Amino acid sequence: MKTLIRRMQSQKGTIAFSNIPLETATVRIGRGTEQDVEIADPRIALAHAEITPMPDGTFRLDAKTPSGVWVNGTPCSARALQVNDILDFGRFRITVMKPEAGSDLTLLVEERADAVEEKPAEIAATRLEETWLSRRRPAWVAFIVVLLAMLLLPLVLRYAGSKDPATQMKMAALPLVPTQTAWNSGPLSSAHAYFETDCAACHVQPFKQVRNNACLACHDAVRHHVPDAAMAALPDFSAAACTDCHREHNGPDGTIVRLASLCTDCHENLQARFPDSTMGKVGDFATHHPPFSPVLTQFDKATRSFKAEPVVQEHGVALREDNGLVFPHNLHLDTKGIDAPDGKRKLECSSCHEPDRGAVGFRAVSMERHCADCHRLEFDPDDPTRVVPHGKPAEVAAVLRDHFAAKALDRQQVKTLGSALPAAPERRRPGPPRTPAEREFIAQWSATQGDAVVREVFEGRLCRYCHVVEPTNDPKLPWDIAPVALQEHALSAAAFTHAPHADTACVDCHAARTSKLSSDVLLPDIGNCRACHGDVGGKKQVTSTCLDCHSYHVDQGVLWDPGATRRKTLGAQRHPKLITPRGAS
Amino acid sequence: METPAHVGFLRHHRYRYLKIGLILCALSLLLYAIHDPIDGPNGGTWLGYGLGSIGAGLILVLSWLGIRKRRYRGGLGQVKGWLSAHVYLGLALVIVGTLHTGFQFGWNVHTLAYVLMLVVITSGVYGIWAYAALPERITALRRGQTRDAMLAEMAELNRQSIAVAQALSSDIHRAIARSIGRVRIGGGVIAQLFGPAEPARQDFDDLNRTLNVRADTLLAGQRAESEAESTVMFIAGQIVKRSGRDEDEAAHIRQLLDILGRRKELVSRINQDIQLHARMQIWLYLHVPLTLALLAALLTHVISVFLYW
Repeated sequence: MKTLIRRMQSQKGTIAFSNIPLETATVRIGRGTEQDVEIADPRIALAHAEITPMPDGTFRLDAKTPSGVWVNGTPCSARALQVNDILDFGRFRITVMKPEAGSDLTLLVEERADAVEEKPAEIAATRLEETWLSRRRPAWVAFIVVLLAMLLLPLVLRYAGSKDPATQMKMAALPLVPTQTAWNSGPLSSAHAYFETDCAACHVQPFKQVRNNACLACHDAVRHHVPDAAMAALPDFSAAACTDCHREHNGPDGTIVRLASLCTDCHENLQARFPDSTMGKVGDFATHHPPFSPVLTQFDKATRSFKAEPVVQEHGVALREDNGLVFPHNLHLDTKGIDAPDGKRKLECSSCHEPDRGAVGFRAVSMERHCADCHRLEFDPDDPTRVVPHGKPAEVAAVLRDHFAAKALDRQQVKTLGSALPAAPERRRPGPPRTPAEREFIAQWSATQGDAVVREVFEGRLCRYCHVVEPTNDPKLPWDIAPVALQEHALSAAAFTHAPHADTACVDCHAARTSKLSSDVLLPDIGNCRACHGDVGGKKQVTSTCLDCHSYHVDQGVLWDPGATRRKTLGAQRHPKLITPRGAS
Repeated sequence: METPAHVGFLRHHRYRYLKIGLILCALSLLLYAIHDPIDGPNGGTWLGYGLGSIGAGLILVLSWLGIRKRRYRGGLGQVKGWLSAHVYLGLALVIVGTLHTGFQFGWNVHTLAYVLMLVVITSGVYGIWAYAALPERITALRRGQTRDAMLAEMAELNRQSIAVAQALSSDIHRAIARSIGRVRIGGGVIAQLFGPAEPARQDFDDLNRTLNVRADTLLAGQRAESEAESTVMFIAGQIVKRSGRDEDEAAHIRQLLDILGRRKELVSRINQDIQLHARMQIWLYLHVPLTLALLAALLTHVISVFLYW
């Protein structure tokens, strides 16, 4: 179709027409620049309407927007066009003219001066920027509030306020007051919970990591890893920081890191650093841990004393130690019971091995408390209440001799002894002294009788029952008892406590029921422990760390820092209640 | 190779920053998995300090977008590249930041910084969705018109409706005038986000019903004979004046109904447009202020951690 577009423009008061001939299939009207009739009005869609020729020679208008096209003051979406129809497109008006010569359709496009761009007079906000919402102001407010509450105020309270720890702690306890507790990276261990609000107790210098001195101010009794000062001075030990192993702010469970690698780092191959070391290599507990080396006693006959030395306890090798006693565990633990003065008595381990008060170890077995009930020290069947003193061989002989001397003085008793000694006068009248014959008789009888009983006591039925009795050349005390050494704790490098094992039967670990000799070492070997205890990460056993048995700090030896005591007074000034010993003020 | 005319910020530079972000995440996760510090993972190990430094650096770079995008004179790279990096590195920051914490949380400034970071990133994730999904819907909705054009058209419809109503009874004129006053466009934050309050629609429906009833009454008598008459005739306002005043009035009412229908559709579109725009923008009112709060918390975190080292 051929279309003539007549554009009417007013310029500086004069009206100008421009004719634009088009030859297109349709006439497209819209704001887009590719449109046949371009309408520069923002209210108009890019493609707003389209005029299509109909087969009957008329033209049809189709609106391309849902709001339609205003034709003769009425909106419509499609209609047949007629001459003189007025199409309104915003401030532009298109009039359908009588077709001029050479064209099928003539459109007059004019810009109406009177049609100003209308905007609704009162319209609410249509953009978020027009509401109360803002980005910049809240941003600054948030920035300043956070900075003030979290950084500046705590800083001021910390460094410009009271330096007194008590005051600072009181302040930290106040709700909603921004203090340095906001910086606490995690709860302290329960041991240090008291200092939770006194950061400076440990963080002494700003921007410096916590130093050993801060710890040693209180922990002045801490010992080194090695027993002697020369070793402790080696950089391996002197450069160690408390915080290498003791990590804080990790919750109440404690500051002690129980990681095996902290120990095995060195102990896996200690000889690499200390070639002279005789310590075994330790990589883990389950497979790379040397056998136990219990300290066992050996009796040295020459010096008549015990020597205690560690002996490697290889698996399956029975160890012996000297203790100077004769004690078969198997007899005492006979499940049928053993003879006692009041009949059969069934003994348990705990009959003799009583846990100590702390339930850590056991009270020493004592003759008086545990043995004497059955093993009575009587020596005279006529007088079963008389016993020899235990543990004092010299006194034993004296007591026996005195006993029989006294007995000899009592004629009645001498008679009842039924001795083959020479007959004594029937009765002695009171008053006159004993005759020489009488005195001779008494001395002889008591000496003979006494010596016989002393021999019997030492060599026969009493002492030798449990002790090693050795003859001496001393006529006054012809026998002596071999020294006794009762072992208490054989594993010097490890701290074993029985308490966690209380629910296990003693005989599960200690082969007491089959032990016939008192020299049997009943300490179980490491294989016994490994039956239940395994390394961290194992799933079928009790996970056990190095620290379950060992301690990094040696029991005895050099203090970590001999100057710590001096610093303790500084610590005492800071927290007098905590550090001053009880009773001191 | 054909270069597309427009590449969105998500696909910028063939996903360069997505790749960088993924590599960063993978590296962080790998190191975190093999790293076994003596007191458990935390921000104070060498990996903790490393992740913390990267995280803090990222936060600064990401925040710089707010400044860079306002520097029209340019700077390092295109703003689109910055936005692409902002999106992907911001997402990677979730991994880096979380691993930096070692999953140790508490009521302190450190966790505050972490939570702020997560909220900022979460709002940013919404922003990614909004910027990726909503512009298309806005374009489809506007059909080439601008918001101002739609508003102007609405004003025109209002003017027209008043003009047509003048020819009808004063009741109708009053009702139309009132309905114009009650058209709800936009409004407060809630109205913009969720559409204007209900009463306006109620009003419109009431008015619509009244007019329909009136038109039906008027046309009841002649409906039978005008069955053949097409609705298009009514729409075009070409009712032939055959039966006097009633038909005339009915035609005007039809015209009015038509205008009101168009206006209703237009108002609904404008409000949808406002709603889509509001939903595309709203997250920034959280994202930007909380970013500043995060910067303050981050500064405090870093200072306090090293002050009490």
